[in-house]
Amino acid sequence: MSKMTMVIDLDRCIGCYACEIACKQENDVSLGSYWNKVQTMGPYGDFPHVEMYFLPTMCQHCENPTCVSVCPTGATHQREEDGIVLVDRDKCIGCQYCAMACPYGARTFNKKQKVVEKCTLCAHLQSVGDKPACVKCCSGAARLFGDAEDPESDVSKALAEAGSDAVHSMPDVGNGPSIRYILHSSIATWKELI
Amino acid sequence: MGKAQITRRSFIGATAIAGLAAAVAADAELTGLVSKPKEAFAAEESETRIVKTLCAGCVGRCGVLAHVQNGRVVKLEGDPDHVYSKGNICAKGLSFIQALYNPNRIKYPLKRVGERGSNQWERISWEQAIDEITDQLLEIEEKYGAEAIQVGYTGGGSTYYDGYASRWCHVMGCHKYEPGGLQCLQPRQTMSRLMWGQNNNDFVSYEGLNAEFICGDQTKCMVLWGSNPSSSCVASAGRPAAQIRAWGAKTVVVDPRMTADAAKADVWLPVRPGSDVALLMCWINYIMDNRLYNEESVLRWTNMPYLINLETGFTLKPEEAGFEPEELAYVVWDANTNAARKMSYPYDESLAPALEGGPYVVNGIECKPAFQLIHERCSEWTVEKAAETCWLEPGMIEEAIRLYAENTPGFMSMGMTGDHAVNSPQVGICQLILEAMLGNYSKPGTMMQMFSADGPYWPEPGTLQHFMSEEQYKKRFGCIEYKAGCRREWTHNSLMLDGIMTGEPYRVRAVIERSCNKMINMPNAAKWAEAYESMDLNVHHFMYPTSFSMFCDYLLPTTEWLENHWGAGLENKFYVRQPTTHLWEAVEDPMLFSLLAKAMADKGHQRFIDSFDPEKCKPTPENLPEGFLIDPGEATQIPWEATMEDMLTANFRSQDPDAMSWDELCDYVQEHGYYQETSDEDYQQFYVYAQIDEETGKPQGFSTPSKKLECYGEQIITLGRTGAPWAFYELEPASYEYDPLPYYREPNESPLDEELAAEYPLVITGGHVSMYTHGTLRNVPWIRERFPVPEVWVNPVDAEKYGIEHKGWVWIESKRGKTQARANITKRIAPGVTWMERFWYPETVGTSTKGYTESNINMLTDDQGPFADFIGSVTYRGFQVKITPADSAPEGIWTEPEQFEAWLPNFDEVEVTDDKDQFKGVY
Repeated sequence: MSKMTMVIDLDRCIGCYACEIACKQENDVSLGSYWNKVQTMGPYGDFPHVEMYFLPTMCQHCENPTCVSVCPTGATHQREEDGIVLVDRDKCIGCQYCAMACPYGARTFNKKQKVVEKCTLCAHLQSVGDKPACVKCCSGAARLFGDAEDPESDVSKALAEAGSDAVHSMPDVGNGPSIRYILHSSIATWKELI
Repeated sequence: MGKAQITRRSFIGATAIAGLAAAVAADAELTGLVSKPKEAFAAEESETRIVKTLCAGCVGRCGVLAHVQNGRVVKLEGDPDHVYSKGNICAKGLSFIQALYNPNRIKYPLKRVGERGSNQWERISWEQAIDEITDQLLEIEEKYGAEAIQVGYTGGGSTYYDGYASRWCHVMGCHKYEPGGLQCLQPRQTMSRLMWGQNNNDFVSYEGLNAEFICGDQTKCMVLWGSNPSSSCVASAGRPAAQIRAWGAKTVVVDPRMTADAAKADVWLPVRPGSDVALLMCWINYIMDNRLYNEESVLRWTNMPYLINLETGFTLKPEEAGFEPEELAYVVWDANTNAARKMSYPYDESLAPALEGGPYVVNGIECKPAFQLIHERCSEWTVEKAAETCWLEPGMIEEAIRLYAENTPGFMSMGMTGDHAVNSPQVGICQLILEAMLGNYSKPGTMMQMFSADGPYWPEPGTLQHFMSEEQYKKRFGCIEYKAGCRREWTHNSLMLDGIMTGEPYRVRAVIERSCNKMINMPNAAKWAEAYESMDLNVHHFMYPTSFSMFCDYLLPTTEWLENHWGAGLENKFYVRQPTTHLWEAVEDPMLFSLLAKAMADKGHQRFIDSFDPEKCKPTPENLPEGFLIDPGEATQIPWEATMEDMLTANFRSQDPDAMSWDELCDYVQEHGYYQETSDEDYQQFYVYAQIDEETGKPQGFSTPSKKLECYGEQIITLGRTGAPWAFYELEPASYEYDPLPYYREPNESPLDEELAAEYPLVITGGHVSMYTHGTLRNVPWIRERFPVPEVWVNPVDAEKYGIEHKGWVWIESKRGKTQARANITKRIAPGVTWMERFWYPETVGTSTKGYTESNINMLTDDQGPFADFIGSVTYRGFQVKITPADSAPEGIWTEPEQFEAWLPNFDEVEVTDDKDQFKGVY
């Protein structure tokens, strides 16, 4: 079993928004919708001693995804071989239960096609040995993609090197988000979103 | 100067193109994952051609892999072979696919019907357009002289290769103007050229940085001063900055805004806009006071130990001191003997030059060491005084200086900020002094480098400078007073504006314009609107209509960079910008000038006829006018060419008859990634100044008259008196002596002026966001939906004081006018300071606002001086405004994502055409 996921090094994210546009281009995401969106966190503190960082948000490709369990048609599913959460748009009926169930608001509704969409970790690119578009474009080299179960993967090595104090994740309400964020306190203090 | 040539004879194989288009397996599950139609996948499987090309979305020129399917560009990615961007690409670059196919493009030549500003046009042929425009230009030349014509260039959305435009101006006898130049990069670059003989190096000066070439892993401290690489040149400059930070360099960011780089810095100094030079002088003073400088560098490799003749302002020459004349020898005060001694080049070990003290009397002449003069000039700028003037905490200033001075090798990268104000040349002067004092040059880990000159190569066509007569040359606005502008021959915009408004010394009557939107780039836009309305002829050659177009009589379609031919030498590698397609009747901008030249010649204009004669183009002594002082550039003898391919091929072959043609070069680059002659090892040389020159047996030093780093910039004095080394002809002295020592002037409008500050209490500054460069991309859906309107940043303290709400619309008002933006209440900016991005709205260009008045910081800026000494920069940043809540957003602007659907490509209406068809009837 493998668990393909992403590690985002916030020490290196320079908030340029290229990943948002790369995602839109690669996946033909509609105007007004984002599968991947960069938030500005802060600044916190008293001027001029303030801290700030950028936080790219996206589907967390959870271990126990709530969106899968609420989907009435099986359109949203977790792929067995690598744990990625996907939506089969041929099975999706557009009920949007999954969007309501997602703790991170990571799903968007495609009004024209009447289906729910979200980050696929560019599964179609992975299938030909390529990396997700947001990883390839990233000027800060902040995004790493790989198998969390493989200690030799880029993501595992980056997490080991960062040290556990600098590794963060979105709030876990039992769904087990798999995306990891690296942020050292020398850059900024991680803020819990919820 | 040796340059790499595009030769067939020898080359070093570059890496083969990495990773061709990933074909996508067309299985049902995968095609269901993206929103694009399933047929697209079938097409992708069948045939995707990958074109290696170069972005022109900013000055960065990053590498791009354009995926082309059946003639249509379907995807852009970064090119891993690129020496700066290394496979990365930014939001702007990616978005150009929507710019290319934008329904808003100017598709055919258009002639105005009805009143100016009515936005009513009729389609005409290129032949008719060129015929009518050249008729009018000839008439204007006859009635008013060629100087009544101006060519507008760069400042956003241009391709930054103005060789053919310059060439056309030289033959015409007219001048070019742009919003940048005198207040964009050149203030620093001209000073840098005079002080160390090379362009300044910084992250965004032209292209970017290769962190590996400079050995950024050895950089111990990186100072970004008004430089915002993470927004300005994301993949070519933000990328290496992030890499150097990740390797462990300490960082200091000096910027009124908390930029992305500031957020990650060890020290962020939110300097008061416009006060940067006071702070720079404080850094110099502190480093001198505390002897934190690198003594070996100061003594051996700068002119700071040399005695300055206090009467003349120049270095004391050996013969003035009673010594035998000797080339490269200067005079120092020897502390061992307490007497003046001649210092032979490069250094005399028996001497102990005094850096401080004086005046010393030598042969009856009062002198002081240059170091002492610089120190005296900076000495008032104590940390405490700088803190008070620049609105900073003294402890943070001291921490920043110590980080920089105690962590060498390192570097200081400047940005546009310093160029946009009254102290612009002094920014470059101070930077050079600081870097020289710390020995931050030509070492691993520094940014000032002297890599092999065999590397960079810029395929500029010959510009025929010698066609420009002395009489016409001296008519350039600002030619005498602001001689640093001679380097690239820029018109002083504000003096030109005065000329248009008053007729003194003369009026400009026609503008041929190739930049994006002068109405948001020129200071005091409302006044420029009056000026443009008064013109006899305005022509806009651009990709889409902008506010400026509404003042025009002709709109001519030009290409997006995805349709362009060009090349760029970046470090020791040569890349091509090759076309991916060609749409409608677009003509690349250099070719407009070739078409105009051909028509002028056909109509009997003698200088244009001559410009097609290779013999007359040669810069031989008999062809040079009397008193012509400079060496015309290479390739000047190449006549005008009718196509870009021919022009580029002719350029390569003017330097090497065996050079590849343009098409052969593209094939080569397509296969090998780039063209390269000098290996990385030969290119990446350190301590170059210390290398022994075989001819002299001495170190080669720097490209300055003294071969030292001229921290005391005595060439600046000469520039002011004669225009050397750049003026075509010797010029009379400016009305003031150019002062080579740093000095600080308060901004023209300052918060220290209590009366002014009572009415306009906030200091405003400008600057980029990562989504836009200059005036571009406001018509691109992916960009506009993310950043639909400009923000104005307001500190919470001021928001409370002035009743501003987060995300509420506000009015910003200066003595010139007022404009609107949406407030971002944030502690990323200091109390008392505000920042706004310039903006225009393509959706309202056809209304009475012409799209430029609603949210344009240049409705607030002043076109008037005082201008910066030497170069004449106007003040774009650091002036006074007030801010009040607005009732509503400007009328008619688009803010919602679905509104931008109007600018999504409509492929039913896209015409793919042959790029040569437009030349028929002219060539």
